Amino acid sequence: MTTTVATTSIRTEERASLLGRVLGSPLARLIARRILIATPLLLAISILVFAMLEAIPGDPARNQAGMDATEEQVEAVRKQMGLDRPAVERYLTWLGGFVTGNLGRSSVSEQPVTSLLAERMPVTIELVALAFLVSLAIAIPVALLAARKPGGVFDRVVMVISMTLLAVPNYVMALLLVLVFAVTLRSLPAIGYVSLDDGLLANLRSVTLPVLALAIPLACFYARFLRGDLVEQMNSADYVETARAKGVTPWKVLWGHAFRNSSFGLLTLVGLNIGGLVGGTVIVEQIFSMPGLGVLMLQGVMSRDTAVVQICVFIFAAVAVLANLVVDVMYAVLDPRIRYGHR
Amino acid sequence: MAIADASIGAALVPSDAVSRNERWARIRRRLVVWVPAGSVTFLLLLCFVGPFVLPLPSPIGGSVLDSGLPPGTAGHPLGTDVNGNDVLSRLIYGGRASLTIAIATNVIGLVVGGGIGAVSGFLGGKADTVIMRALDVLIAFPSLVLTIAIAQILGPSVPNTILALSAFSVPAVARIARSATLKIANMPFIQAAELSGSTTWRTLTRHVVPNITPQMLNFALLGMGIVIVTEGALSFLGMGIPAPAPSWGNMIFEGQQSLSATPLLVLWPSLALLVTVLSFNMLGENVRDEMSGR
Amino acid sequence: MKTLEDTAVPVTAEIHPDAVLLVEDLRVTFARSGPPVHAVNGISYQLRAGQMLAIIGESGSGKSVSVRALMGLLPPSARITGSARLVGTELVGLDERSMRQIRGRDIAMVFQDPARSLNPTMSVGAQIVEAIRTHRREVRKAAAADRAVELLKLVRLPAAERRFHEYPHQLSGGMRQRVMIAIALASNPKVLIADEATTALDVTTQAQIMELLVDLQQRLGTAVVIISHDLGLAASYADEVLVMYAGRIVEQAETAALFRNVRMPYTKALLGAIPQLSTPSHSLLAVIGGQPPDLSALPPGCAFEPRCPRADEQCTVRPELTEHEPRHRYACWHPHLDADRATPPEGAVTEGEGQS
Repeated sequence: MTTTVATTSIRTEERASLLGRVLGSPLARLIARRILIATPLLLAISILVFAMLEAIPGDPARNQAGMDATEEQVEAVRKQMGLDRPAVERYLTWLGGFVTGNLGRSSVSEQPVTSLLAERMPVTIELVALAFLVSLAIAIPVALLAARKPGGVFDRVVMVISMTLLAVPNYVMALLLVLVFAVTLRSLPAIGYVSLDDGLLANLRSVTLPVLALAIPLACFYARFLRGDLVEQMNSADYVETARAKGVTPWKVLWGHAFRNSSFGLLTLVGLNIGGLVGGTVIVEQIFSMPGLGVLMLQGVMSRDTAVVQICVFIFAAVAVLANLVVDVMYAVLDPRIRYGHR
Repeated sequence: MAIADASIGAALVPSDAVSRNERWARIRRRLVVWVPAGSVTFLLLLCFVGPFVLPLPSPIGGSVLDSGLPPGTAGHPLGTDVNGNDVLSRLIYGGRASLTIAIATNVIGLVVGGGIGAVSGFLGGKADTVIMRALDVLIAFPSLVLTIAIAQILGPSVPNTILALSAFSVPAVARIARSATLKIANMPFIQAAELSGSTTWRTLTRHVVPNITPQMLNFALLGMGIVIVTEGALSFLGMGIPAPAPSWGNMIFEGQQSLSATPLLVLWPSLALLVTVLSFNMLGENVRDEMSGR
Repeated sequence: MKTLEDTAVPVTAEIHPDAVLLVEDLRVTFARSGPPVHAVNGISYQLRAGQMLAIIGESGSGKSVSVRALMGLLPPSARITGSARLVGTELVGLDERSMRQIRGRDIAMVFQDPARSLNPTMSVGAQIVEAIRTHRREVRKAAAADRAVELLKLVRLPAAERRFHEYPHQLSGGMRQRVMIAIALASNPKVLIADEATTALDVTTQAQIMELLVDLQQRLGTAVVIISHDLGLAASYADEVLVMYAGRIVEQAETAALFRNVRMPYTKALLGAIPQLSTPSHSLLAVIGGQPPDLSALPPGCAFEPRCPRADEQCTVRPELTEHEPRHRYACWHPHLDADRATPPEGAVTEGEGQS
C-alpha cells in the first residue's frame, strides 16, 4: 500500500537494524507471550484427554485379549500394552511419544498410530482448507454486495437465505447435497475419497460435496458477520466520513476502507472457527466415508481403540488452540496498530 | 440506513413514500419478532402437550407389516418408516426428547456456568485466573469431539447426553457470565452497595446476578439451536438417544439408509430440525437486538 | 399565527465580488420516525476567499448539520432546501455523483476527532495519496506521493518523509490533525471547513492548529469556516462570527464589532460561559440555564425565549435577523444596547461542552 517516496536513506537505516528490531519487536514479544499461554493449555488438554480415556469403563486388556481369554492371557496382554504400569508413568510415556514419534499401536489394526495419522491427516486437512477457502470466497463478495445497499433487495435476500441455511446442521446439509447431486442429478459421487495421486480432478470431484456441506453454513455465518460489521463501519466510523468527504466513491469507501477494518474481525472469527470446523469434519467425513481423522476417531471410539482416540481427540483440541495462536500472530502482522506496538 | 448512498438527491423523497416505507418497516419488525416467538411456542406445545392430547400411535414397536407406508395413509398422515412406526408420532416424541435435552442442558449451563462465571468474575484475583484457565481447557475442544468423548465414557442415554452437552454449555456460559459480571462490578451502584456494608454474597445475589440474568437468558436462547444440532449429531452417530426411542438425529440416520428410495424419511426430521433451530436463532437474535436497543 | 419565516426574503445584502460560497435560506429537516426534526431553519451567509468565518453555537444549534448539508454528508433522512452556491455551482439538490466530484476538491472538511477520523489500517501517506488521486486520476502514484510529502511539509509536520509511512496511531493528536488538514488541502479546495477541529486537542496544540489554519488561509487564499462551541476561539482567530441557536443565525458581525457590542442575550450567555483568565480560579462558571431547544417542537417565537433572562411577551413573536447596525445583525427584541462592553476573552478556551 505504501507508495515509494525518495526516502531510500531511511529505508537502508531500517534494514540495518532489522534483526535487532525483530528480536525486540512487539511482535516477537507477542508471539512469545502467546506460546507461553498456549503451552500449559496444551499440557492441560493432554492430561484431560488422557484422564478421560482412562475413565472409560471396561478393561482394555480384557477387550484386547478376547472374551474367552484366561486370566493369565489377559495379564500378558496387559503387560504387553503397558497397562500394568501406573497411570502417571503411562501418561509421561505417551507425552514423550510426541517427541519420539512413537505413539503406540492401534489395538484394532495393529498399525503404529503415527502412520495411521500420516495416512488420515491429509484428507482432513484438505477438507478443512478447501471448506475455508470456499466459504470465504462466497462470503466476502456476498457481504460486500449486501452492505453496498443495506435494506436493499439483494441484502434482504442474502439475509433471509443465510439465516435459513445457518439453521441447517452440516449433517443435514450433507444428506441434502447427496440427495440433490448424487441421487437425483447423479453428477457427483456420494461417498468415497479419491487420492490426489489419482488425479486432481477426480480428487476434487470426490471432495466437492463434503466441502460444500462444511462450507455452506460457514459461508452464511461469515457473510452475516461481515455484512453487519461493514454496515456498522459505513454508518458510524469517523474514517468513513473522512473518506466520503474526500470524494471517494461509496464502493471504494466500502472496499478500501470499511473492509480493511472489518477484515480483522473476520480473521478473528475464522481463527475461532477452525476448531469447530475441524470438529464438524467428524460427522461429515462419516457421512461421505472420507478416510480422515474424524472417521479414524469415530472408528476408534466404536472399537475402544484407546491409543487412536486419545491422539485424535488431542489433535482436535490442539488444532483449535494453535489456530487461535496463529490468528493472534497473523493479526499482529497485519494490523499496524499491533505491529508497531501501540494498542 | 444507507449512509453510503446519502445524497441530497435521495433525500428529496416525497414524504408519504417515506411514511409508507416506515409503516411497512415497522410491521416487518413486529412480524420478525412475533413469528419466531409463535413458532417456538407452537413447537413447545406440540412436543410437550401433543403426546397427551393428539391421537398419536406409539412411536416405537410398530409392525414390519406396516413398514414404508406413504404419507397420507389413514392413521399415518406422514406415513411410516422402515420399522413400521408412525413418522409423525416419532417426529413429535423425538422433538420432545431433543427439546428436553436442549432445555436441560441450557438450564445446567445457566445455573452452573452462570454461577461459576459470576463468582469468578466477582472475586477476581487468583481464584478467577484458575477457574478461567480450567474452563479454557474445556473450551479448546471442538464441541462435537468433546461430547462424543464424554458420551462414549458415559454410554448412550438421555441423562448422559445432557451431561455430555453440558461439558461445553457450562464453560461457554461461564465465560459470558464472567465478562458481564466484570462490567457490572465496576458500576457505581455495586461499589455503593459494597461501601454500605453489603456482604460479598449479598452483593453477588442481590445486585450482580439480577443484572446479568437477562444477558445470560438471551445467550441461552441463542445456544438452544447449537445444543439441538449437537444432540442431533450425537444421536445421528448413535451416541445420543439410544434407538429405538426416536430422536431427530437417529431418525435422520435411519432414513439415510434408504435415502434414494424414501428421501422423505430424512427430509421430515431435517425439516423439523431446521424449523426449530431457525425459530430459536431468530428469537434469540431479536431479543439480543431489543436488549442492545437497536 | 403567520410567522415572519413565511414572508421573509433572504437577507443577503449585496454579493461580495470575492464570495466563494453563497448560502441562502438553507434549511435541513430530518424526517425519520416521529415528528420531523428541524435542524437548520433558514440561514444565509456568504464566505469570501481568504476569509475565516466562525459558526458558533451549542450542541444541536445546527452549526454542524448546516455545513454537512453543503457537502452532502447527511444521511438520506435529511431533507435540504434553500440554496448554497459554491463559485456558481448550486450544491442543494445536486446528485451524488456530481457532489462527489466537488467534495474534497472544491470543499473539504476537517473533523473533530483526529484519532478516529483517520483510517487506522492505512498509512498516513496512503490516505493523502488517496485524497489526491480521487480527483486527479491521471496523477501517478509516485508523483502523488511526492505531493503528499509536500502537503505534510505544508502543514508543518516534522519529519514528513518518515511520517508518510507511519500509521495514525503512531502520531500525536496534533500531528493527526495536521494530517487531516493535509488531506483536506490535497486538491487545493476553495473552502475548508473545520468542524470542531480543535475540540479534542489540548490547549497548546489547539492554538498551534488554529495558527496553522490562519497561516494556510492567508498563504493559499482558502476560505475557512470553523465550527465551534467556543466563542473564545472565534474571538482570537476569525474575521467574522455567526452565532447559531436552534438552527437559526441569531447574531452575526465582524469579530471586532461583535465583541465590542454583544447584543443578543444568547451570545452574551455564551460569552459568560467561557472561563476567563481574569476570573478568579474556583469561581463558578456562568452556565446557560435551561434545556437546549427541542428541534422537533420549536416555539413560534424566539427559540431562546424560554431560557432568556430578558424575555417578555413580545418574544413569542420571532424577531427577524436584521442589520440593526452597520455590518452587525441580530435577531432580538431586547438586545443589550447599554454601555457595558463585553471584554473579548483572552484567547481563552472553554472546558467541556464538546460535540456539535
